[in-house]
Amino acid sequence: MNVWLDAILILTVILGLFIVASTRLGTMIQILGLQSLILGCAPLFMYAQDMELYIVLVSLVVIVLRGFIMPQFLFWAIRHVSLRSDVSPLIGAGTTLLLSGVAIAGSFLLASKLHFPVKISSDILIPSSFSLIIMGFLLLVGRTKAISQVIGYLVLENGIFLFAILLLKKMPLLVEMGILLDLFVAVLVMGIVINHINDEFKNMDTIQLTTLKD
Amino acid sequence: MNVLLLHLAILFVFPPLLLGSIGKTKAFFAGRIGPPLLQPYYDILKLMQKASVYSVTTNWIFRAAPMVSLAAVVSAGILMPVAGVKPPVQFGGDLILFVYLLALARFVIVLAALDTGSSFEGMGASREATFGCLSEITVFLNLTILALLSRSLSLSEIFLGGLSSSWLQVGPVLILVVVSFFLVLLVENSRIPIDDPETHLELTMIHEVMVLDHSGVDLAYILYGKAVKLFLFGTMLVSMMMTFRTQDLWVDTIFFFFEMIGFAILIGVVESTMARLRLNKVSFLLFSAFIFSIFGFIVILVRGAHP
Amino acid sequence: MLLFLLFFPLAIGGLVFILPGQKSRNRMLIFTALLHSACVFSFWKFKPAFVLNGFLGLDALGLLILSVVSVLFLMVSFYLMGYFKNESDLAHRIFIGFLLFFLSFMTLVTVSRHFGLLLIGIEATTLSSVPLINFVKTRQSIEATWKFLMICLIGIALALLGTYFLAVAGMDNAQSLFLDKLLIHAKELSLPWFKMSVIFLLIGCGTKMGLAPMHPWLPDAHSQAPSPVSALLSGCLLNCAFLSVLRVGQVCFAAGQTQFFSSILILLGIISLGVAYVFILGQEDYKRMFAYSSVEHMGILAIGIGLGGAGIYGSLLHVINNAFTKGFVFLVTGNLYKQYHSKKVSEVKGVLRAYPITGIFLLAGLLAVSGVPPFGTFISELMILYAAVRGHHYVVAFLYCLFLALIFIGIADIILKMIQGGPVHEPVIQSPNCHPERSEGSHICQDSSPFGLRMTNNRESWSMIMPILFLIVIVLILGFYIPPFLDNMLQKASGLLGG
Repeated sequence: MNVWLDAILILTVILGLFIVASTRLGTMIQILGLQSLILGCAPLFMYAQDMELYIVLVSLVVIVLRGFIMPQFLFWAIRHVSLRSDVSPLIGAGTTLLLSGVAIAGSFLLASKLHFPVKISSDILIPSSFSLIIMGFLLLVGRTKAISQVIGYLVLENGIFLFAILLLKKMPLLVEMGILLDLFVAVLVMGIVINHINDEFKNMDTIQLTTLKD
Repeated sequence: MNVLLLHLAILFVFPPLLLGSIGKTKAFFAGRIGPPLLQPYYDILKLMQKASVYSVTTNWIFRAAPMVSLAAVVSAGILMPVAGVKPPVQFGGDLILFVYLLALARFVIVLAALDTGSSFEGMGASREATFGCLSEITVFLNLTILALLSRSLSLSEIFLGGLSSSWLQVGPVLILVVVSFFLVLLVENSRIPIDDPETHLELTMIHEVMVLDHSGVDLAYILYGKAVKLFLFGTMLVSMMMTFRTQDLWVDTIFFFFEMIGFAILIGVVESTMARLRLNKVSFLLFSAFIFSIFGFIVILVRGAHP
Repeated sequence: MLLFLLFFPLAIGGLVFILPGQKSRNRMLIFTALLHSACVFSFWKFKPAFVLNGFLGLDALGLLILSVVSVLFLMVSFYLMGYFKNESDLAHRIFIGFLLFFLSFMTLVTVSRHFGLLLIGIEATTLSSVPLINFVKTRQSIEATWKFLMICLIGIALALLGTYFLAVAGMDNAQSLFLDKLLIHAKELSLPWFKMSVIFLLIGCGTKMGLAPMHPWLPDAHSQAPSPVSALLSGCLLNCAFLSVLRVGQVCFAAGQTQFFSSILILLGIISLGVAYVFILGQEDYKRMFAYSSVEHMGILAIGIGLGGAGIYGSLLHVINNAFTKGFVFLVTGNLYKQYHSKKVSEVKGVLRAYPITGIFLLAGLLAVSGVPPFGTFISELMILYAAVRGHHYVVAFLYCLFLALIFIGIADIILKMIQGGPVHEPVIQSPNCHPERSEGSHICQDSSPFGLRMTNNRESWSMIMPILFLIVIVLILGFYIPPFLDNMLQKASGLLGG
């Protein structure tokens, strides 16, 4: 159903805006989980006419893995952190919000120039995915806390997944699953390293990771 | 003629009831009985009978401002369709006039506040002007989106049926518009979480502090004008959300009353459950509203107004 | 056969986790490495079939890189026998286990015929090398690991996006991400999507490869990791990433977009050379210096491929030369660290007098890395220069020579300072307490007696000399003579890229 897919996409982008504008770690993780959950429903709505088992499977895996397990894991990773707020980001919340607005406009512009070979059910899918990718980047670049950077990476991956939905019919299941699994392992490893950072540095400001410089 | 009188009657009589409903809702949440529903009417009548006191530092601007603002707001009301009733005045492009009339009302109040020469009013004036900048853009954008969707530039055509098919086709965009518009409504009418209408501390006020020096009839005008402005914004919000129209005039009007009371209760709930935001977060909120409407605008542009 | 090659190290890696005793684990490592190399050498004679519906397969390019990986891994596993003396049990298990996983995933990258699988392989190598880099948990190594992880993961995410764009470009015609199908339908690929995909893939794989400006993870990771791991990273991992760039190049060539591809690569190559030069000058940490030299050589590789023609042959030859060179150079730094317990250039003096063998190796390293004859690197770099002049890319040739000369001056300055001078008399380790930042490769500091008088105790063991010697000999031989089977393979490989 067209309207539902549109609603999901718009909601995803708005949640992305919320993540970008927020500085509280707990809030960011929860909204990220919500966004992944909603994103996981997108394949179901996009292929409502010719539904196949593996599409349902992919949706389910994304919802469970990214919507539930990942946020739980992130919360575990910051369980010892007392200061749950990114107090001094490199790019402030207002500026990031402004840049995200520009990014959204830019992605719509870019997407209108690109011609997609196959008809897509919603014409705001590609721009939404680009917007999410750029928002993920802004988070990665503009924040100093390690966990904020991980959240930025996950938003980036959400955007990439949104684009991948377009190819769900053509690309074999193997690669999709492999990518999801890689993502899971990547976050696992990141979480472990964050723990080490925390233990060693007693906080998580990556701005302190500057001893190796020329 | 009948229709015209109905429109004017609703416009003039109904607004203070909104304020009363909000008060009752807040009292309910606080476990009190609260002031009676018709309290704002009594307040206005009481104030009309009092004399005005004018400071010696003020001049004619201060005396003229309340009248001008009330006149502007009521004129804006004449352009606005209520309850499925066509407004007395309508022409293509009247939505621009509408927004500018409301802006004029705000402008003269700000001038009057600056005229008093008091620092409190000046502070309130500067805050009001700042927030006004951001909120007006958003209001314009939202109205533009609605105009694009209903393919007309006249308020009456937009709100009297132009949007009926839009919810089915571009529902999400309309949700964006509604949310953005609601945030702007809270700002323009000085409601919590932007401004607490019942605070006693001048340093925390935005709108109230501008009108501190007005008294008597002037204050009555201002209070009434505030009610009408809230009524107009509420009508827009409600008409955006409830787009069905039965053809019967009286049924529509009854529905409208209930919708407006529902709107007032919603405002009351929001006020009771949220605390005031820090002032630097208010611009943030406005900015988010702006981004929402920009997003909706871009989607509409990409899609074309014909989905 | 290919499946065996892939899964065998994985299985042994899993086994290693439960195997008691360091000696037995080391032996399993060497056994696996030997078996792996034997299999790879057999592939030179008998080409293995494509397996798994065409997901895995070996062509000339893959075989080249796979052989390099295999030989280097073998040498490093020999070196490791003498490198680890007393490690904590768990740390050793993790290290050897993940080392074997690393081998398996690198093999996956070289044999993959599907772009998605290629990316999975690269991401897997990134993830499996994290515990290897983070072996000694000091402040600096954690910082290096974090930068490595973040930058490489972002790079791979971008490469993934590029892969999706590639799939979109091929949606009407190739309808898959198999390399062979893409090559067949290359001319019909939708051009704007294809160009976007090439850009993203190059940025993503270039990040893994260490091309500037996506290189910041490289000096940190290579200098903070234990030396054998640095050798593997420099010699094997970067080349696997280079392979993915080459695969993109293959598709570009088949699609007729070589111009576009070349210009990006040459640009990135020149920037890498420039960046390497700037950061090598006055470098205080010799491992970091060699890491920047890796950036430089990756830049040379990129320029070679970008120039086309004879440059491609030169580039592929340089892959082999550079891998072995960097391999032995980092192993030499491992020796240096064992002896001097410091990574700073200022604290390493008189190597030639104190440890003659290491000194000679270090000198050989200087010459090989800078491309001085008779080492093989000279031949390959010369070939690339020849291709530049032949193709009338005079500006490129000029910048290339300029930067190479300047970098040579920089590296020579640092290394010659280290080599010359008198033997060191002052105590090398101050106290029985180990400083965590200085104890690379050993969790439990082994020496409890005053160390300063026991310099001779750290004579290099055989296992730390032979691999280095072997690699030096190979590079020397390649400087004189390219054996026909190698020449044949190189020709085939460059043919795939249009050279």
